[in-house]
Formats: sequence, structure tokens, C-alpha cells
Amino acid sequence: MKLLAFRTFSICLFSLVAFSSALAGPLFNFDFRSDFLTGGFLQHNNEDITNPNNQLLYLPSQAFDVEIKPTLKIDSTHYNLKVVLIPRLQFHSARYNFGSVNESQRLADYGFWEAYTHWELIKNVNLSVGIINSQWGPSDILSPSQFLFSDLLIKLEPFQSTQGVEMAVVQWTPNQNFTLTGMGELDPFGWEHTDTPPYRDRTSKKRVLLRGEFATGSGDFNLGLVLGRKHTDRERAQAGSYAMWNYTNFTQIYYDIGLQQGSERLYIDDTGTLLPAYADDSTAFQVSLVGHRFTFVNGIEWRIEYLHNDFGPSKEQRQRTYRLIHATPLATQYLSILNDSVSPLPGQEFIYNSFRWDNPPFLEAVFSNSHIYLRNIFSLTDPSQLFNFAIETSLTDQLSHSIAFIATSGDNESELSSYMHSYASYFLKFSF
Amino acid sequence: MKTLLFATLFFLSFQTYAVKTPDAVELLKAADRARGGLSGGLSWKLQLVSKDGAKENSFEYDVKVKASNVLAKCIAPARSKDEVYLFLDRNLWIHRPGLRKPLSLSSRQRLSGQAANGDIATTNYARDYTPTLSGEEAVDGVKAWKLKLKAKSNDLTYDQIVYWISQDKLLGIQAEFLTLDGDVFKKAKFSYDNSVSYNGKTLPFVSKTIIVDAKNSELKSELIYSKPNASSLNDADFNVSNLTK
Repeated sequence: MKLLAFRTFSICLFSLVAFSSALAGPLFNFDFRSDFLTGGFLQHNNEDITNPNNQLLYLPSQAFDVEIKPTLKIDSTHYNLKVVLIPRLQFHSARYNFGSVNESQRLADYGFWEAYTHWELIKNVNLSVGIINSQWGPSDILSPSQFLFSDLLIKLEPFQSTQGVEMAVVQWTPNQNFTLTGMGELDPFGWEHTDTPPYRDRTSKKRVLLRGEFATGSGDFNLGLVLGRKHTDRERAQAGSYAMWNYTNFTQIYYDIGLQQGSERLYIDDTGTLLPAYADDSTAFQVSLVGHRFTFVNGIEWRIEYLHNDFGPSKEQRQRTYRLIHATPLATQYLSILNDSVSPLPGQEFIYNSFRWDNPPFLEAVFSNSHIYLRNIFSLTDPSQLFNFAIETSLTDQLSHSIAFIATSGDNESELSSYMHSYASYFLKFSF
Repeated sequence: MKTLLFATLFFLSFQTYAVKTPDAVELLKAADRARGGLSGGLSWKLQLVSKDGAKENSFEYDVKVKASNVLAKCIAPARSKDEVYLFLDRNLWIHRPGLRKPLSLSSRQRLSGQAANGDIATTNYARDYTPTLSGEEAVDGVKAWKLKLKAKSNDLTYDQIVYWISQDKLLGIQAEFLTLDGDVFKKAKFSYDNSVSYNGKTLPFVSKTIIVDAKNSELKSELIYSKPNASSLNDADFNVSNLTK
């Protein structure tokens, strides 16, 4: 965290120095907004075989957060330059259950959610450097062609936001229809860090990619192609593609695919040896998704997505793992294949259903600007399920709040129910 | 001299004929121009006030328009600040602070109040509807042409519109929006106290639109336009990839 903060500080300092020339110019604007977020959650963890007594994953059973996240934008049209700074200061208090033992933890955390400088080098060619959140794709649950952000897209808790990645981005948008983007992670000192498993994989800081996107003028259709390379345990090539087509004003079909040469994840062979990936790196591993969006006359959006994930453990791998754990209860290294951060989901075949309703009339009399989400992730292997209901509404022009519930179904060895039984949260956001 | 007299009479008779039976499409095009339907770039500020009895919500947007594309950035209230809406023809993209990427939404999804997404974006009735001139009527003392508009496709905000265009200034001054069954479900009135300079001419520009639910007059939306400005806009501003910048 300190390394991240130091590097972020360096980037921002560089940005501000670069921007200082703009301040001397006659045309610059400051823009400021800020979010103050507070709330907490209760979580009923599954502390059975996959995370025995919570000794592996250290999942909190309850937490209370206070977070301040201001956004400062300074731009100079005269110098075609913009600086965006979004620092976050968080006070976090959590309680953990480890079998019969309870522990509490309080900490203050700080960092930059986004912090970048954006130059228009020449007309329609931009360079951005810093901590940036730049993503794409038509899908809801996951964007497999987005190699720099590999975790789930959906926000099960509405106010949840995602930290950017330190990178440099060059983007050429000659017109409304075409985009060519080059992206590379910044790794000036070769440092590495990992965030809390199993959700983040930041061990690779040497990822580059090139993306081309074409969209029709009406926006009915777009197609993107992505080529990438990353260096983790070895050099690995990546390729991806995504497309969407609005074939009526209320129906859309889309896909998003990411391919990678080989895999970094771990597997157990018949003898119980934890093997580092497949030996054959000529194998292409894929995460592929096809989806359909239908919007009803009353505005309710229904999405259904099928996801195939080669990086997740197969049914056979999962059964083999549990067999070994039952035979050797303390063989925690075997559990790492189930908690592997390389895979965005703990399995290979899923169906995702989502209903979203913006500004439903029955809520407009009480709340303005409300959004309701009802989601289900269904494993085609177990089958286990995850249900999510979330609602976000505005109380005043400054104040909004959210309530979210998550529940899983399945047994202790199932893909979606082996970590958590249920979750409930309430958050209040004050914007000014 | 005789030739000149005949020519003058012919011209006058043509003018008289033109006033009495104007081309419905040309009428629509003229009315569209004052409601954002200019072919070049145009920007304005929009305040959208949705009212439900005593309850009131207000949003402010910076709007940029080029051809059929509209970029609207929310500047107030604080909770919605920096939300960006991109209308590409009739397709809608949205980006909110905290979202990872722009979201594609159907035009069936509603942004706020009685105003449909198409009302917030812009007006291009001449492109989207087939007009039929159905007569003349006075609206608040102003003589107007009455047009019936039928949607050219089934993916438009409104299937049918009855539209009154003033005869003196060729401005759309009143509208009724009809369901598929032909029932009126919304009514709108338009004011034109703004002006915009375009190609060396000063053109009237819409200053206020009031949209009222036909069955419940407590439900209404006001769209207040200010600072219209015709300027050259970059096509790349309407590229979805630039929404997050």
C-alpha cells in the first residue's frame, strides 16, 4: 500500500508540475465534487470446508465504513490539458469470526482511486498518464476482453466503485466511429504488489494492449478487437473481441471473448501434486460470454448472459480437491486452487440473469432517481446460485442511499455457496 | 410592362397558394430548426424540472448537438453531477462517476419525470415522422397549422403526435402525444424567447417546453433552455470511447 501511495504521489506530482505551465495561461477551470459515504454490512460466511474457521480468507462478519472521496478536475482548453485527482480516505472497522474466536480491526486507509493527466497531443490524439479506469465491452457481469481489469463488473453493492490501474493510454479517435487505443501498465521501478485475495490479481505490472473499435454512426452496432501481452511467470499473448448489435430499440445481442496463451493458475493432478498450470503453453485459455438484453415497455431491462471460464476449476478439479482435503484436513494448499485469483468466478459455466429498473413509477412519488437491481448467478456445474437484490434512491439533491442483499444456495462444496451464505448492507452517500 | 405585371401577379398568386397549402415536411423542418434541429453544431444549457404535485426534482445539463447526436452532461444536482448521456441517433449511452464503462440503455428506459429521453435530447420530427396537414387552428390567439405526425418506425418515443406550428414564425407551439390507440397521454407547449446566430442569420430558439400528463395535470416536466450557441463541434466528442474523459 505504501509503495502504491508513493508511486501515486509521484504520478500526481508529475501531473501537477506538468500542469503548472497551464496555470500560467489565461484559460483554466476548476471543477470539484465530493462524496461522503458511510454505512456497513453484515455477512454470514461459510466457514466450513472451503474456508475452515475463516482461517484462509479472513472474511469479515460485519464492517462499518466511513469514506471521503473528493474529485478535483483542473482543465486548460488553452493548453489542451486536464488533471483529474480522486483521492480516497477510508476509515474501516471490521469484526472477524474465527470459529469461536472473535477479533476486531480498525484501520485508516488512503490512496488515489484515480489520478491522471490527460493531454490532447494533436487533434483527436490524447495521452493519459496516471491511475486510470478505462474499460469497455457490452456485457454486465464480466468483460473478458478487458485484460487490465479482470474482476467482476457488476456492483452487488450499488455505491461500490473500482480503483483505476497505473497506466499510460494513447487514444486516437479520428471521428465518431473509430477508436484506436494503446495501453500499458506503468512499471517504472519493477515493483509488484498483491491486493487481498482472492479478488485481485495485481502481480503482473507488465501488461500492454492495443484496442481498435468500430461503431456505426447510429450506435446500433459496434465491434472491438484487442491484442495484448503480459508478463507474469512468463510472456503470454492475449487476444480478445467484443461486439453488440441493437437489432430493435429494445433488444440487443452481444458477445465478449478473451483468449490467453496458457494459464498461471494451479491444478491438482491425480497424485495430489499441486502443478503450476498446464505444461503446454500452446493451449489457448478462454473466457467467453454471449448475452442478450431485452427492455420491456415499462423500462425494465432484462439481461441474460452465458459465461464460459477456462480459468476456473472444473467439476473434476473441484471434486478432486475436496477428496484430498477430506483425506488431509489441513492440506490448505489444495484450497488455493479454489481461491485462485486468476479466475474471476469459482467455476467454468455460469448463467447470469439481471433485471434493472430505472426510476420505477411506484417509487417516484417518494424517491427521485431510483434504481432497482435483481440479479442471479447460476452455476451450471453444481448447480449453486447467488441472488442479489439492491436498491439505490435519492433522498434529496445531495443525499442518496442504498440497500443490498446477497444470498447463496448450494452446499458447502458448491461453487457459489462455499464462501458465503448471506450479506446485507446499508450505505448513505452525501454528495456536494 | 405587361410581362412584369403578369410576372408579379403570378408570383403573388404563388405566394398566396404557398401560404394556404404549405408543404408539411418543410413546415416540420422549419419548426425543428428552432428546437435544436440545426445541421451544424449547437450547444445550450438545459434545466429539467419534474413536478409531481408539491414534489419537485431539478436537473441541469450542458447539451451539445451535432446532426442527430446529442451529448448531455449533468451539472446539477450534486448527486448526479458528471453523469454523461450520449444519444447516437436513437441509441442511448450513459456514464456515471463510479461506473467502470459507459452503459448502453434502451430508449425505453426513462431518465426522469414526464420528459422522455427523446424530449431531453433534441427534436428531429422531420426525420422521424410522416406529417399530414390537417387544418388550421388558433392556439392562444396565434394562427397555426395543425399537423398529424405518424412515426416512421416503431422504435420512437411517441407513435403519433398532433403538432401545431405557428403560421407567422413557423414555430412548433403546441403538441399532443398519442398512444398507439390514439389516446392523448401527454400535452406540451413551447416558448421561443431565445435566439441563436446561425449562418449569419438570427433564428428564434426554444426557451421553454412544458409537458403535462393528459390525465393528471399534477404530473409535469418543464424544460428550460438557455445560452444557445451555434459552434463547430468535433465529431470525436460523440465517440463512446470519449465518454469517460
